[in-house]
Amino acid sequence: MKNPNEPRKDKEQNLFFNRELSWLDFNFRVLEEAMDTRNPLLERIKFLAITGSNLDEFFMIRVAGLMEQVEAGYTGRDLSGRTSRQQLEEISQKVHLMVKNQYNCLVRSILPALKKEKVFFLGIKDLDPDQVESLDHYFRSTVFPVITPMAVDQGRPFPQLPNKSLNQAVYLKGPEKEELLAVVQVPSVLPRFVPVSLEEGQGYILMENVIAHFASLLFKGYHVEGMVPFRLTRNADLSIDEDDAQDLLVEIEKSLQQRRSGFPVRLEIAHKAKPRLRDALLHMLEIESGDVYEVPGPIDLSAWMKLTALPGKEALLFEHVAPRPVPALYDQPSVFDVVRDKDVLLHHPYQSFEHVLDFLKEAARDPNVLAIKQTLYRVSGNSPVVETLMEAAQNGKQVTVLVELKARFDEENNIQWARKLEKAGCYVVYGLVGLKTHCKVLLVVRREDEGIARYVHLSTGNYNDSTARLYTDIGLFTSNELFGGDASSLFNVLTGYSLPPQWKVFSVAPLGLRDRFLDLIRREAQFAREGMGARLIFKVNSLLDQTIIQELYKASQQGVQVDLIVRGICSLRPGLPGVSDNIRVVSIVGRFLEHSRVFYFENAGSPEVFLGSADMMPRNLDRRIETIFPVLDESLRNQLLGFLELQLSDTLRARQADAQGAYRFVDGRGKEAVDSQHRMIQWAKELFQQRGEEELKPLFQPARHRDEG
Amino acid sequence: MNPAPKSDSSSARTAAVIQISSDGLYCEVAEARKDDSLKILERLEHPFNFAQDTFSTGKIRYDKVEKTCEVLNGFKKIIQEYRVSRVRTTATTALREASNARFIIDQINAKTHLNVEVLEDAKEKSYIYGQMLDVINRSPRYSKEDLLMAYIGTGSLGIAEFSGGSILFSQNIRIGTLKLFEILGDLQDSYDRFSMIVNEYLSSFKHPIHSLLPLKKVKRLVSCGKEIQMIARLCNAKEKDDFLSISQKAFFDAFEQIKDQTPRQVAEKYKIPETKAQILLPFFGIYRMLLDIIETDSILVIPARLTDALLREMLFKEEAKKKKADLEKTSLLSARNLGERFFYDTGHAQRVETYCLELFDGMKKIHRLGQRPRLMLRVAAILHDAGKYIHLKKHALHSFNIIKDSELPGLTSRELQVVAHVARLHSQEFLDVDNMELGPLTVEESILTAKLLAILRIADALDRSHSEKIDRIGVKAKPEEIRVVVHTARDISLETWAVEKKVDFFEEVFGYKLRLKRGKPDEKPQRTPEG
Repeated sequence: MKNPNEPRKDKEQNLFFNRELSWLDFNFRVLEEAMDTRNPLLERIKFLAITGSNLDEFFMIRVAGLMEQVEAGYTGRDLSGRTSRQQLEEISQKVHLMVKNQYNCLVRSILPALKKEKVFFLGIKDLDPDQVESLDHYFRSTVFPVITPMAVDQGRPFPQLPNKSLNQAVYLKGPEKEELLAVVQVPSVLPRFVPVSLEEGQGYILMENVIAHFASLLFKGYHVEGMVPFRLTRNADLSIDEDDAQDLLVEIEKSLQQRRSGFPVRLEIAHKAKPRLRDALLHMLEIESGDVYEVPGPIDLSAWMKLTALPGKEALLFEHVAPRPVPALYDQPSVFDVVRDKDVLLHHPYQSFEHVLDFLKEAARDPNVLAIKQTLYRVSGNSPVVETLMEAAQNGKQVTVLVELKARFDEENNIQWARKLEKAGCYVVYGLVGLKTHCKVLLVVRREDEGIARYVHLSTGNYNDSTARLYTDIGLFTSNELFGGDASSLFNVLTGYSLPPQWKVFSVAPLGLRDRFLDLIRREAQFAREGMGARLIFKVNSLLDQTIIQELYKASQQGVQVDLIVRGICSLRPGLPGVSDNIRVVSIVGRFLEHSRVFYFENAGSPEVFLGSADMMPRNLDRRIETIFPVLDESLRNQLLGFLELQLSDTLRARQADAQGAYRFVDGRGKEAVDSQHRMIQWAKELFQQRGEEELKPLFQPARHRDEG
Repeated sequence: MNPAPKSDSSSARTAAVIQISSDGLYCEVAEARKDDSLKILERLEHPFNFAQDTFSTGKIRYDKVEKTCEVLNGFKKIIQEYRVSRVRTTATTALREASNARFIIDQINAKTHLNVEVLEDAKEKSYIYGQMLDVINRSPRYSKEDLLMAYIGTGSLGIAEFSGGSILFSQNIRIGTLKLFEILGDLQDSYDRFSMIVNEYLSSFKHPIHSLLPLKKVKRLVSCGKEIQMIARLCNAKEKDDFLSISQKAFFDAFEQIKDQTPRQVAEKYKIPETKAQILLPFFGIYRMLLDIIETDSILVIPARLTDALLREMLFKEEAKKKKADLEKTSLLSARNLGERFFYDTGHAQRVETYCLELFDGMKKIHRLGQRPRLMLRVAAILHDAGKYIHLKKHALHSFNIIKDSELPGLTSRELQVVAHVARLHSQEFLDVDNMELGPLTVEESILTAKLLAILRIADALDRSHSEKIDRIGVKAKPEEIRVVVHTARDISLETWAVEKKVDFFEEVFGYKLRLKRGKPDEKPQRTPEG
């Protein structure tokens, strides 16, 4: 683990941090949570597993992309002034350090802690003959039938190993002393952790060790000289030619095949592998030594996520927190009736996502509802959202669903339920060529006495009931006609029926969302120049857009107080003298994944707060359909400001970035200990308990940041 | 509980209009609100270049129909979402000018079940003027001013002068924006010359338009439409209550800026799509020409739209009725103004119109004609002698020419053709239903022409001496004859003789005898035609 207090050399000559290294820093922060013994043990394993799956994706997409650039001879530099090759080198260095820390965490901290909980990871040598016997039975009856050893020689080329599959490389000698290399795929259909009954506690042995032990059964007539587990990661960035795609659905299905055979980007291999085996693998996979990661422990940390569902060990998890009902909607027979009179804000996962499902169900069944339109990006398995939309279509509603087929790693899933929706009579569209539809909008058109009414739900997060328990997102219900009109227009654009209109309240990427942000930042800077207190607070997942960062630097130089709550990548350098003195960057990593995007502008005393789906990255602003919308209700706006202030005052889960890009836990000395996520849990609970007095309870009373007076 | 509507009645409060315009397909769904306002629920716009086909080859290519229907079916889907039952699909220039329009309409009908109605230019403009008048009349400030209204379509420029709350004069001139492109053809590539040539071309219209205008000086040039709104934005126009005002200076400054630029440059500079920038130059050119012609302070851009007019007509019955009546008044006023341009005999025209109305209203059961023919008859009465300004000889033929090439707001060109023929034949001797030579008129139009003609000829004969001899006439349809009672104290031998000469045709048309009967001189003055 890097020592956060160790001064870092100023390698950054540039005004921007590199995106990939900044992302790796984020993954280090997640790893910190895995290391943190204040967290319950199984939660630490979760964090560790997340760092593993995060890294997998990072290699499949980001590293693969950089390798392609190098391959193509691209010599351009990124924002921070690095070439692609330089980036790959620094990534390799940093990831090697990360892997070392990950396995330190696992081997030195987590496994011993598990042992204390009577969960044991065993080797064959730890087993008594009876246990070996039953393992033998298991191997012969269950494992052996699903294993296909593949020999590699001149007549049989190296097999196409699936992306992220765990394999064993086997070095064999034949009866004539001839040497042979073979590969055995560790079957992904069987549990990685093979349970071993113990008198006390629970034992596990890793599947690859079981296979290694019985390998001679697989290669009769040969002698197994050596074996080593390895795992290959491939390029998984889909390339789809949308312009020529007649049917996007079919085209994506085709390209999903490619993902299985993308070029290798990383080789993880158990350390202490025989050099002979190691070299043979490198040679056959055509992989460079910098992309090889020798792992001092079981390969593939993401697999450990499975272990966090240990039966009877719930005490080793975070205390279960039930999402609370929103008082305004609690026990109400109709969401429409409530939302007709006032806007309602929902903070997930502190407050329940059920309200959104209730709203959808009510719409599906209400005889006066004419149409339902919704964007879907990622949904859960067996999604109640999808079920309800199908029901609505069967009830004769006009249901339009914008399914984003290109939601990364959810493509296959999305194709399946897109077909299901179509079958049920929904009108399914796949969005606009070249643009991913990332905005989260749900529109219900209803016939009422006064005429047509439109109800809108907008959110910062997906319509996914599973992630709504893990990600922090904010949703807004409104019946404001300006929102309804914009939502209708947005769907007309997405379905290709119409050109974009002049938006009334939305700002929509890629049609000028960046410009809107720039204008708002400039306005704040103007106020600062005029000597008014000027402040902006952005809460995003990533901040990468050069133009916006430069505008923020300018604003800082004009005296705007800029507070940025950026969970992940941040290319902005805070606190640089003369450049960004007034900018603070804070990152919160906790039990819930920070996901909401909130934009606050002080606006000379008439604050404006926007919510939305967009991060401040070029891809969000240029290649995605995103929407940002204002929160017009004053009390809700204040609630959001309270929420932002709460996050900024976090002393337990917040890290602050320095000008060199190092993130340190904020110095909590002399301050109240604040875990902002925990406070939100409390807030939602209390708010619900004293429902009816909602207005009376401010979300957070901010401590003044500036000197009083 | 949810306030559920009791019946399906609310669907009666929504309507939709689909428009096939030369630059795209448009659709709006609207709802009538209780305060009589129009609430637009959906506004769809799909750019589509029909015009280039129509103006370059005179036809719309069949492959465009396919794409059009795809878009129209999309619109229909949105319309169905609101369960709108009343949909009006209209087409303007693009189809109006296409020689294969009827086939295109049939194909669209086959593929979308939409009935496309081609809006005649005059009808389109009367909707627009009506809408503009509404907006203007709601403003205490502008409704009292003299104004020149201009409406630039892709195919033609409509201008109308407006004073004291109504239209004095209106004229359609065939210089639309796309027309300009058509005329200038390949010159589009050389933009530096383009603006110069546009100006030279347009300046040839200056004099004729100038001579047409009853008022040579107005307070404002009033216009509406997307393009002038865009121009207003480029000119940093002042906005007040939905009205945009562009000063002369701001307009010419902006024009100087843009005139030598390519559409790409314009698009970049003002952050507008290039296709829109392309269309902006001709618009600028035409407005500039108008500003050259008429003395005025500024251009006023008002929020009047054809779609609003169509939607309101569908949703507000009472208002539509009143509008129709207003428009009739405008038609009559314009007819009188046209008459004045040819120094017509106001008194005679008025008397003939009066007698026509007495006859028409007294014979309702016999001719079974409605409100439109009544209006046409009045216009014919007003203008039947306009040709006398040119020459007394063959004056009816001159009247015919004047009428058929005029434009009267509120009358379609077909209706005007009928009126023109009525004027042409009003004084013909030995007229017979077989020898009217009505050329391109349809059977229905020919019968209508004959009926109106028969009435007009009698009315004209009753004022044969062009002097106010008759106090009043009364018309009674008896089972055996039409009896016209002439209240007068003067000698009407001339009139009786004149009527005698016209009754044969009348009887041939209606199958009734017409008999004059002298009545008592009347203290009660004859009603004068209103409007």
